[in-house]
This record gives sequence, C-alpha cells and structure tokens, in this order.
Amino acid sequence: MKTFSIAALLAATTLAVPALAQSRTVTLSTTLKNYGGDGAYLAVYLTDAQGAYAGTLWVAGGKAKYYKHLGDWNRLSAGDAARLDGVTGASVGEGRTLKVTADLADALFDAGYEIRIDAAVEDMRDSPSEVRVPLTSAGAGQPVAGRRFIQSFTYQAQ
Amino acid sequence: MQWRQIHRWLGLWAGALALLIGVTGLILAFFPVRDTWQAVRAEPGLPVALLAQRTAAQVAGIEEIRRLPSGDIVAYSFDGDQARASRIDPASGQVLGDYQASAVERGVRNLHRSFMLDDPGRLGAVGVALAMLLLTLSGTLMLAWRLGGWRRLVAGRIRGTPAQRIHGFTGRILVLVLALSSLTALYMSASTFSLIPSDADVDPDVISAPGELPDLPVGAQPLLQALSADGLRKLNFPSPDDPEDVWTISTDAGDGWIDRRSGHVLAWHPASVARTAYDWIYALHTGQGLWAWALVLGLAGLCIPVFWVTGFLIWRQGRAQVPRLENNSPARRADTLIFVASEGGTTWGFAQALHEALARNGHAVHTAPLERFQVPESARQVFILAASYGDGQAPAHAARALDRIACLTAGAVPVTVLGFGDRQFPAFCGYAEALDRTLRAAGWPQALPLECIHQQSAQQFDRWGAALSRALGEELALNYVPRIPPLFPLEVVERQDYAGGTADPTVILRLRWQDSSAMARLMGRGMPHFEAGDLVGIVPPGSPVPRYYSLASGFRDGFLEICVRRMPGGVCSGFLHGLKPGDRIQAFIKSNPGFTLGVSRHPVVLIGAGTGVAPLAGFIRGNVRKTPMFLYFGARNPDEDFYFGTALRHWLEEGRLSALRTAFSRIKDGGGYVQDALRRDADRLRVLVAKGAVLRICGSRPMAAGVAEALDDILRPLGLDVRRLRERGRYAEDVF
Amino acid sequence: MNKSWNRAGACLLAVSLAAFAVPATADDDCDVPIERWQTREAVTAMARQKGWDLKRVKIDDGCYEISGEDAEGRAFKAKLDPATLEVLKIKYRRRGDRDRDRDRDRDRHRDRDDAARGAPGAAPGAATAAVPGAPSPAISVSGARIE
Repeated sequence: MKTFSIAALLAATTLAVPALAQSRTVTLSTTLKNYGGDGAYLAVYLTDAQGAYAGTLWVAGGKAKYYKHLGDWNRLSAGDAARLDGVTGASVGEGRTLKVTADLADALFDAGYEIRIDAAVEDMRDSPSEVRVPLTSAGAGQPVAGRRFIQSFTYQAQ
Repeated sequence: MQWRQIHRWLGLWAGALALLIGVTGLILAFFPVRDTWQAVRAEPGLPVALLAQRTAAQVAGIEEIRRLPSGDIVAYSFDGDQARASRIDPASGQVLGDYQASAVERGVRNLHRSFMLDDPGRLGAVGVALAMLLLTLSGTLMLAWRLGGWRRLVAGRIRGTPAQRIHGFTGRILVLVLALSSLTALYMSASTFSLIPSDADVDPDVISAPGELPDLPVGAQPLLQALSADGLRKLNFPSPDDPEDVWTISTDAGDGWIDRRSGHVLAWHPASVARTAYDWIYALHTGQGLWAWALVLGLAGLCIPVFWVTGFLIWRQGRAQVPRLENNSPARRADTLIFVASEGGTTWGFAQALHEALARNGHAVHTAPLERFQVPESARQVFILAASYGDGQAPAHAARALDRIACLTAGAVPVTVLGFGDRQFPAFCGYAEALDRTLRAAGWPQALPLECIHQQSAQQFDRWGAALSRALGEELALNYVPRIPPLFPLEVVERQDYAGGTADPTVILRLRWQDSSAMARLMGRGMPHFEAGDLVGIVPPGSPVPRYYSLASGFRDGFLEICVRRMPGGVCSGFLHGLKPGDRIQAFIKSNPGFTLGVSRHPVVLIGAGTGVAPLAGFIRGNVRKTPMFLYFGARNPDEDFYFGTALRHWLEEGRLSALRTAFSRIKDGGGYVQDALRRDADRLRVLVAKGAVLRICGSRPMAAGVAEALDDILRPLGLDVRRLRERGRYAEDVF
Repeated sequence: MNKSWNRAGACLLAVSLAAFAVPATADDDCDVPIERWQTREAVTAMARQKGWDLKRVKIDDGCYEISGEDAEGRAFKAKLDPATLEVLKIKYRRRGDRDRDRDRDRDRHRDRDDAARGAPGAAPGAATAAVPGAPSPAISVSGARIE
C-alpha cells in the first residue's frame, strides 16, 4: 500500500508537467495461440522501474469474478480504484489479436517502464506476467513471444 | 389457483429452451462419472510434500501440480519451450500420459450456460433457471392439490390420461433435484454477474527472503508435509529464474504462500465462507467429484424432455373440444344464462346443446365461462354446468368463481346446477356440490335439484333435459352430439346367443379388425391398442350418440368381444342383435384407465353381475401370468344367463382363474345375490385384501351399491372400507 | 392416443434441431502494415473507374470497407485489401441485412464509448488531457479492438 502511494506521488510530480506537453500514440498488438480453451482474460498494464504499478492499459474480460486469476495485475493494482475506468472489453478468443491504442507520455519511454501482460483461461493455467517487455523507443516493432497463451506481442509507437 | 396458468405457459415456452439445457446437462453429467471412473487417485492421507517430490523427480521443468475434482493428478511443465500437461500416477510420480481437457465438454458447457451466445445467452439461461424454479414450485402445489393434501404428495396415486400420469409421477420423483439445480444455477449466475460478492481475494505481496541458502527441497517443506493431497487443488513451484518467487498452494481449506528457502509460511488465507459456499454449490450443480450425484443430475436432465412433451400433450388434450357458440346474446339482454366450468372442454359440448335448444325456443341465451358469473336485470333463468377436476376441485379457469358467487346477494332468479364427473374419483362431482351448497345457503332458488352426470353420459343428459322441460313448461329438444373420434371397421366373426327367459336375450359378439401396415400404425392410424376393461363406442344407424360397451378381451387376444343385452327399445342393442357373422360395423375405442387392470402382482378380486361379467372375463382371459384371480358372479339362472360359463370353467382348469363363486337369484338354493356370495366368503376376502388384493366391480348401479355395503361390513375388522381402498387405487367400478 | 405421441415426438425433434442451429460467427482477416496502405483518394478513384457510386469508405477489421451502389444501381458492401485495393469480398444488400449491420455498428460504438468514458468530453480516437483520479496522467487509452 505504502509503496504504491509513494510511487503514485512520484509519478504525479515527475510526470505531471511533461505529460501534458508531449506524448506518443502507441498501438499494442497481442496475438494469442490456439491453446484449445475458452476466451482468455488479459490485463495489459505498465509497471515502473521499481516494479510498482503504473497504470492499466486494457483489461480484456468483463466478469470481475475472474480478475483474481490475473494475479500480478490484480495484486499490483489493488489500490487503484479507477483501474477499470474505460479500459475494459470482451475476452479474447484463441488465435485472435487484441489491439490496444493509447497515448503514452514521452517521459515513460526509456525510463525503465515495463509493459506487462497477465493472461488466464478458465480451467487452464493462470499466466501472470506472461509477457514483460521494456517500454523503449528501440523496442517498438520487436515481437516477443509468451510461453503459455500469447503467440506474439508487439508495440508500435509514433 | 392461477398457478396452473403460470405452470402451463411457463412450461410450454420456457420449457422449450429448458429442453436444450436439460439435454446438455445430461451430457455434461457423464463427464464427472467418466472422469472419476478413470481417475488414478492418490492414496488417502498422502502428504502433498511427498506427492510433489515424486512428481518433480519424474517431470522436468515442472511448474504446477493440480488435483482435479475427479481425483486425477495433473502436472503442468515446460519441456524447453513447449507447454505440457501430464497425468501423474501419485503412487510413483510417473507420467501416465498427456492431459487434454475435453473440447466436447467445453463446447457442451458453453451451450448449456449461454446457448453459445455469451452474455445475452447467459441471461437467457438465467431466465430459464428462474422459470424452472417456478415450475417446480407450481407443479408441487398443483400435485398436492390434485392428490388431496401434502401428506398424499408422496404416496397418492396419480390418475388421468397417460400423459398426466407420467407428468405427475416424474415430477414427484425429481422435484427436489430440479429445484436444487435451478437454485444452484441462479446462485452461480448471480456470482458471475457480480450480484453476490465473491472472493475478491488478492494475492499477498510476498517474496522469498533473499539469502544464500539453497532451496528447501519440496519433500522437506513443513507446510506441504502437513497438508494432505485429499484437499489439494493446486501447488505452484517457484520459478527457477526468479530467486524471490514463492511456493503457492491452494487447498480446500485455504491458500498458502511459502518461502522457498526457509519453508516459512509467508501468508495463509483460509477459505472464506463465500468460497466454500460457492464450491459446494458448484459441486451440487455439476456433480463434479460426486459421481453418484452426477448420475442423479443426469436423470433429471433426461426427464426435462419428458416433462415438456407430456405437458404439451396435457395442454392439447385440454384444448380439444371448446366449441364455438353461435347466436350468443350479450349478457345484459339475455333472459337465460348458462355458465360453464369445464376442465377437459367436454362440458362445453353439453352447454352448447342446452344453449341451442333454448335458443330454438326463442330465448336469448348467453353462455360464458363460470368466472364471468353475473345475473343481470333481464335474466329469468340461470344454469351452471360444472365439471369437477381431479378429486372434486374446480377447473383451473374457474378457481375463484365459487368465492365470488358466495359474495353475491341472492336474487329471485333460479340458478340450477348440473354437475359432471366420474364415479371413479372419491369426490365425484365435488365441485358442483360445493357450488350448489353455496347457492342454496345464499338463498338462490332453483328450477331443478342438483344432478350429477357420470362419464359424460348422453342418456343421463337427455333425462335431465326431459325433467327440465317439465320444470320450465316448455318442450326442450336437447341435441347433444359428442365429438366422435375416428372410427375403425370391425367385422363380426362369431356370436353366442343366450335366449333369455326371465332375463333379456343377450348375445356375446366376437369381432375382428383389419390388420394395418406397420407404416399406418407408426402414423397412429392403425387400430388402437385396447385392454379388457376399456370401452368400445358404437354409433348405431339412426342415432348420432355412441353407446359404450365394456370389452371382454384385449388387443393381444386378437379379437374384440362384447356382451350385449337386448334393451327393450334400445337402438344400439337392437342393431347389434341383428348382426350376423360377416357383417361390418364402425367403432372406436374409449380407454378406461381407472378400471383396466394392467399387470398386478397382488391377487385380484372380481365381482360382477349379469353382463357386467364381460370385462372381468376379459381380465381372466388375459391373465397369462396366472396371478390369483377370484370371481364372484351373480346372475339369475344358470340356464339363462351364465355368460362365459364354459370359458370360465376352462380358465379354472388352466389356472387363469383360481376360484369361482356364483350366486343365482332366481333359482332355489341358488345363493341369492352376488353380495350374499361375498358375505359367505368373508374370511377369504379378508385374507386377500390383507395381502393387498385389488378389486374390480362391474354391474348395475344398485348392484354396485349392494356390493360396496357388503364389503364395508366384511372389511371392517381390518379397519378398511371401500372408500379407503378407492383412494389407494385398489377399488374401481364400471357401473352402467 | 398414439397419433398425438408421434406428432409430439416430431415437434420435439424439430425444436431440438432448431435450437442447435446456432449461427457461427464470421472471421474477417486483413493484416497489412500501415505503411503499405493506399490513400482514401485512391479508393474513390478506383471506385469511380468502375462506375460505382460510393456512399461510405471506412476502415474495418484492418481492411477498407466501402458501401454504395454499383454501376447497375444495386446496393452493395465490399471489403478491399488496403494495399492492392483488390476486392476481397463483396455482398449485395438485401432487406434483412440492415438489422445485422446495425447491431455490429452498435457494438463497435459501445466499445468506443466505453473507452471514451475514460476521457470525458473528448471525441473517440483523439488524444486527450489528463483524467482526474487516474494513477498516471501520462496514460490515456483510446480504445481496443479484437481481430
């Protein structure tokens, strides 16, 4: 709890001004494998250099009852009351691609921030932090594979 | 009793969707059974530490061990980059093979939960679950009413058409299971839609304390040694790449997080009430882990189509015969009003006949259902034609009518009640009697006293019409034409005459029907099956009203046999007496389900007089299993009217008939009447009834009354009487 | 008696079969990197060449989706490969199709609205200012799509 509020304070103070000024539009594409199960719940979120929660980009899957299976996201974002505001949608079927578009401030790039994806499928594994990629300018366009449910993940920034 | 309407419409509409849920539920119920049957279970009390140690030794790259509800142990691992799921033998840790969750099960479950339509589909399924709950509730209420009380709900015998019997019988067995299924489904849906707070448990933020110690081997982990595999759900191994990662264990009792090096329990979350409740409800609904219960659930799912089909048939049978009434005057201008309370719709036919007869005489007649009872200014005569439902209750649509009528102040207009019922039911005509009592108590005058018509007898109706004509002082030509089912041709093959003497001449006719092709029989156009005790309806030339005769043979005997007494002036009996072998007639079968015998494990006591012996002879003829049957036969003179005499003696020798007691009333030392024969055999009758015997009586009204009186006397020492036997379904009469 | 049973059995069969005939969902697929897409002007020029009267050009499931009337005046909808502008799928509109299209549009608007709710007062798809209460004012989500 305390770490989170300190991190939020830090984030707010360090990022408030430059955030309004400059940001990039980022498209995050997550393609799922054909894992042979129901639609997957995904949580796409950011963590800072210390591993603290920095914001939720998208949660695919509508039933709050199942969010505990997105264990890392659920735990890290527990203090954020607005974590689901405007960022929820349907769960993603196997083989499908989830494309999230967001504006991220320039200051988030190359600053040790990580994009993380938790995945879970009913009656199959929970896959917390299946994908962890650093948010960098150079990393854009580099596909990363997950081990269980995610075939590949890429992000584009411009 | 609007429950009946609710039940009917919910059942017909939601029931159609419930069919799908029931069938998919049946399929799903097989999986827990199969899984448990095939499962390789851990021995009871096996510590988790030991299981994990054995498994980790055999499976490289292991990440998680899961125990399925069936008891199977599955290990999830990574073979290089390839994810693996393997079934494990808990005794040795060896890999038994790959684990594949069934795609079929998943698909059927999606269909079951949401008709494969995601959230809107889920809502639909919730609606159906709600409907099913209401249906079980309303169905139970209706069954209790019909059987006459809550105490009879379990044991009472359900009467009626085959559709009604199956519906009630199945409902009685499965009502609790279905109600439970619906309730659990509703709870789970509420949880899914976040209406019920579920476990919002968040993983604790714990890490293994950093240090240089090596990992504690799983076999030595104290918490894992203490926990038994019986309650295990899953065990997650700490990741080899992450030194801060922890052991995570989830059991029925709660979840724990363990330091990988020291073995300390970093956090323990006991299972919350919400979680345990949900787990139990899930298990009760799916039968997972409870294979015997899964079978019961499968049975319930299987019976939903049975409910729907029989319910549909009951509805159709009820709608069968409501006729359209022409020249129905509006109520406020009518001088004669007819109100109808009809369950099967047949009473409407009688109302129509009365309506038309009165209209022909120039009256302005208004006919309406009983719930619209009113007596306007213009009325001069009011009639109520009321059928009783089941055991003397009101038909569904007229449920409140009695109360409403009781509240009205009596006028000067005569209100006459004509009741319709079936003497096989203990409270024959009960509703009409209740109506009549209420009206008289309120002070309404009447044109005729209450009359009750048995089994829609057209002759009785005619007689009532004649009495009404006299009372009203006008000629009423009642023209009741019942709807006749499709007719089948029959050919006379044999006739056996009894010339009579003091008795009327009687003939026993044997008829054959044409064999129909298999195709015709499948389409339902073949000769229907009948049993001894059912009735054949014959429409004689010159009269549209069919006359019924009891059948002295069954379909399996290959012929149709009736015993016809020549009634003086009788149209149909005269016609039948004039038939010769080779002649053809048209007839239909009317089933008599309350009277026919079926296969009885108990001894059977048959009591009949005159031509009433015919169906009883049919029972004996069909007694292939040689169930003990005892016949008491009353007639006048063995030379004149010992019907089926030769056949009876033959059956005695064969063993189809155990004993025959006769009583001849017109000869000296003949034995008197059949009730005298009963009294003489009182001891044997008591023994038989004590052994569970069923009784069948066939004859005239006075004979049946005399027999009932004699039996009441005979059975009094046993603490039984005819009424109680009738309630238990052991006593039935066919009275003409 | 037997007749009713047989007829009821046939009804039961029909209902079960009908209930099982659940429509499968279609699966469109266009995967062309943004830099290779031709412009909208190119699309309208191509349509003009073919004599089509275009009412609408939009992007759907990674492809260009156009609708209008063809040279003979029939109403149609078509999916074009955004790089080569070849027609991947073309469907002539019948009276019943309008409802299905409306539903799909409604769903898509709902998703977009859900995303837009996080940024009050902004048009969907636009970059916006900070949201009060969000953990970091540096993040602003426009929306997401499943393909």
